[in-house]
Amino acid sequence: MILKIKNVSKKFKDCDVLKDVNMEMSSGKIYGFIGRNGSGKSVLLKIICGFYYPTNGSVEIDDYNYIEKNEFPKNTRALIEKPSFIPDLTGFENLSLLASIQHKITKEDIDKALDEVNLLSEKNKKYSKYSLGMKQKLGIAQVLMENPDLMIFDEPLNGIEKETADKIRSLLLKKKKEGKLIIIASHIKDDIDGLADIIYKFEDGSVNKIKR
Amino acid sequence: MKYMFINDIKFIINTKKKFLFFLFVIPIIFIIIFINNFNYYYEFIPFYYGSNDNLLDSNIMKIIPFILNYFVLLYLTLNIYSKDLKNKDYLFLRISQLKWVLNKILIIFIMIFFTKSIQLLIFLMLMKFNVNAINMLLLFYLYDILFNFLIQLLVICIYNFTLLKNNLSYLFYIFSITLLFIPKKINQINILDISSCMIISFLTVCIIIFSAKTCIKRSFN
Repeated sequence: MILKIKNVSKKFKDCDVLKDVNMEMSSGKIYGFIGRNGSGKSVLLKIICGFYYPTNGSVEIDDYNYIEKNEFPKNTRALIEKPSFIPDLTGFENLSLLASIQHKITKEDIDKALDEVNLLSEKNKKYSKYSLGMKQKLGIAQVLMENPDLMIFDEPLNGIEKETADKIRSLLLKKKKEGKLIIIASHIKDDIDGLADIIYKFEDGSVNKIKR
Repeated sequence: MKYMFINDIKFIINTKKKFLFFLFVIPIIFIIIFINNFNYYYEFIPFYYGSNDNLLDSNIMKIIPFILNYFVLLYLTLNIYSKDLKNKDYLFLRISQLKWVLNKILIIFIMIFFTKSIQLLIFLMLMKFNVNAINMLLLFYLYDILFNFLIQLLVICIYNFTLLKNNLSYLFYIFSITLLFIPKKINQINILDISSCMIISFLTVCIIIFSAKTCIKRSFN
């Protein structure tokens, strides 16, 4: 899979959030977006997901401009902003319901995803009783469970304890070896260091590649 | 379907209970107050289901249940329809806009069917099931469901178009108020009204489906 971002700009009223951004990302790599809050990382993630239209430019996956066709990227899962699930269902029930949309995975796959984020022991607890960190873990499990080709995470390690954060990092490295394209945005450089193959720094609407 | 259905039902039960309460309790109050003023139950039906057949000459007591049903169902429909557009990361990467909109239309129909069936049941219970000409009552019930479904479809249709641009939202309010004047002739139903309702509903569903892909995606901007 090759994801190309060509001359993408995004303007909200008079504010240029992204200016002429160009990137090319390919499978089997982890890409990190760093920058202060409000630097445009989440906006670009939303453009990639098809939730925002770019003011200018295009986004293509394998030379297919899905945004122009009013579609969303295929086989992609994302955790953007704060996770929101149905409060009075358990974590497991929430994931089962989401999985029922495409019927691609089994209950065992859901358990596996919950185990990968250290949430298996809490799977029968109602979502409303989850702590902030647990909610975040469930959001990550929701991305992982269907084994998508493109995984997008915005501040994924927010509120997650070190032990689980390390486990998630190892898991993402494993997914990378399996040939997945992973994009992680964070305002904390340490969250991305040691994980990303290529880091893009977002500053005042422009994006600069930091080679590692 | 299962995800959207459970999500929407939980959403209504958890956050919109009060509105369902209005939809069920006010008609009961109407029955208790007015039932003795009528010799035949079908004379009373327009006061129960609401009617706006002749606005200038109409009894205000027919208009109140009409407006109540209209606004409560409109409010619930809009909430059910628009809530997913605000929480999109989980849903729209898994489901196409077309499937989503078809599921939403089905859920809205089920909601109307369910609320109208409960209203019918309440009516029958308060009448102690002592109702003659039950097929006439069922015809009123069917027409009420179809009429309300048609109104909700028209509302969704114009709502979709107003999603294209922020400054179009005033059109939605004008249109919603205009819909109040579509005559609901609950006590003069004929097969033509029912068939027109079904044909216009079908055409509106087609317009919604054709516009869904662009309108829904544009709403995210």
